[in-house]
Amino acid sequence: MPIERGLQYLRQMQRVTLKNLPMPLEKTLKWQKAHPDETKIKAIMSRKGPISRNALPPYGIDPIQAEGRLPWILTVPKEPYYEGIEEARQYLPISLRTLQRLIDLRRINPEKPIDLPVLCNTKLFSIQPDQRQFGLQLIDEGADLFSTPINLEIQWVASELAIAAIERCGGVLTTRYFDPISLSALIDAKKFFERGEPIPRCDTPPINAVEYYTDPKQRGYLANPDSIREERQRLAQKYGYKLPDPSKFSSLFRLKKDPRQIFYGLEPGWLVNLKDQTILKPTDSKFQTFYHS
Amino acid sequence: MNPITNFVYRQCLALSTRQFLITSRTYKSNLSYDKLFPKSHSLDVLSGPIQAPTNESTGKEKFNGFIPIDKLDVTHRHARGPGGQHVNKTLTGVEIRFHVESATWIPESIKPRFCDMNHTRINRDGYFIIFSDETRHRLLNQAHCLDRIRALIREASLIPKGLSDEERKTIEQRKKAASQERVIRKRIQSMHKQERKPSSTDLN
Repeated sequence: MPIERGLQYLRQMQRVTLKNLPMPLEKTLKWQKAHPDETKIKAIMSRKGPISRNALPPYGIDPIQAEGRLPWILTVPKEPYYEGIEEARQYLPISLRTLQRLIDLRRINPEKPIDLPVLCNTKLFSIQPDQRQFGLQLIDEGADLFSTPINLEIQWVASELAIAAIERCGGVLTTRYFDPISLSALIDAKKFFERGEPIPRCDTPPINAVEYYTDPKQRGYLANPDSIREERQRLAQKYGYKLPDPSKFSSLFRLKKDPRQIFYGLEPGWLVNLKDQTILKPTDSKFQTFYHS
Repeated sequence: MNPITNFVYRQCLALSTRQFLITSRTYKSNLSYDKLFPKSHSLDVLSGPIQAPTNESTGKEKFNGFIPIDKLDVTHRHARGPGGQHVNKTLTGVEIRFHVESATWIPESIKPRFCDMNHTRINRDGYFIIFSDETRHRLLNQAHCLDRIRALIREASLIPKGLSDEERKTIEQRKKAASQERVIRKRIQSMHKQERKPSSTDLN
């Protein structure tokens, strides 16, 4: 109540004058001087220029410094058609049709895990890591034809139909990331071993790929196995097939690489000597901690 | 097949598959699966507990979304429409049939309403038939059929809420008010028309 407030002022204040009494801020002269109205500004300012003609530039640009023109950097148009192409990843396509064909022609053994080196050994794909190519992607052409259970490890899958086609036949699919150095080792394994370099430790995926490889719907290798199991069941119910009995799987179907491992059965840090048919393993603790981290 | 590259692959697997598995199992980096997911129920993707329904709901409970595929009769047929040789030769159309009365996976409370709503899809022998040739892939058509079945079961399970007493009262009131207004308008209109006619009273 304003009356109560007035009486409180009378009680508490030593002297009550017009200047002492607290007024709403907007009515004080001090505030009004600091915040002139638009009409007041227009009355004071010149009759010409962008302000008087309602032609101010967009927010963020000082109208007085711009002298009525847009700054030069905004007059030049921007056409970002190829933005981000330097970082964009490419994956060569492999369809389910070609996979089935390779299995039928016995160029690939479906009983063993099918990996990137296995597919590159067929010499159907030429993957160039320096051209921003990061491996192979699975295409859903031939989804109705595919009919062999396989343990497949691929770098990218875009369609749910391709995943369903493999799991319907009783197979397993994982998507796996390889950084360019590991990729060059995998594409031509013999050439890599002849170079005499230790097997590299695979890096974690870049930040814009982490969401993909931790997604159970894409069967990412960093996804929670519990979620992947749920997704397998969900797809089986969606596309109308039955998941096979888990006890009937051979142990090779459960074979999965560690996230730092590139080759099945070989650890990072090992040097493979093809000529003497030996493997050299590092004994220094410095190297061992690095390759096991 | 290039024997040298085959040799490399075979050399890596020169050991028996068992030793193969043992060496790969012993390598564990800091990012190994047991460290990334310490609380998961099972690290194996193929076997382990699942939360989603894996068995059909028994007759009286609510529909849990699970359809047993063995109990459905799935046939591949010719699809309709344009497409030339491909559509004539490949059987991409999918037809799903099942006997409604003996389907235990549909709850008993929904069945009569389901049969009533979809009586055009159920034939004389009591089989529910649904056909799809929307896409070019057989798998996708099968998924389309199953999706429609699930949607129809859900529609049958949703019972309309009905009107409450208050709602009924307000509707009745509004109807009465509207009819009263209409009667008034009618009377005014009839008065206008009577005024146009010559009156029976003589002006004397």
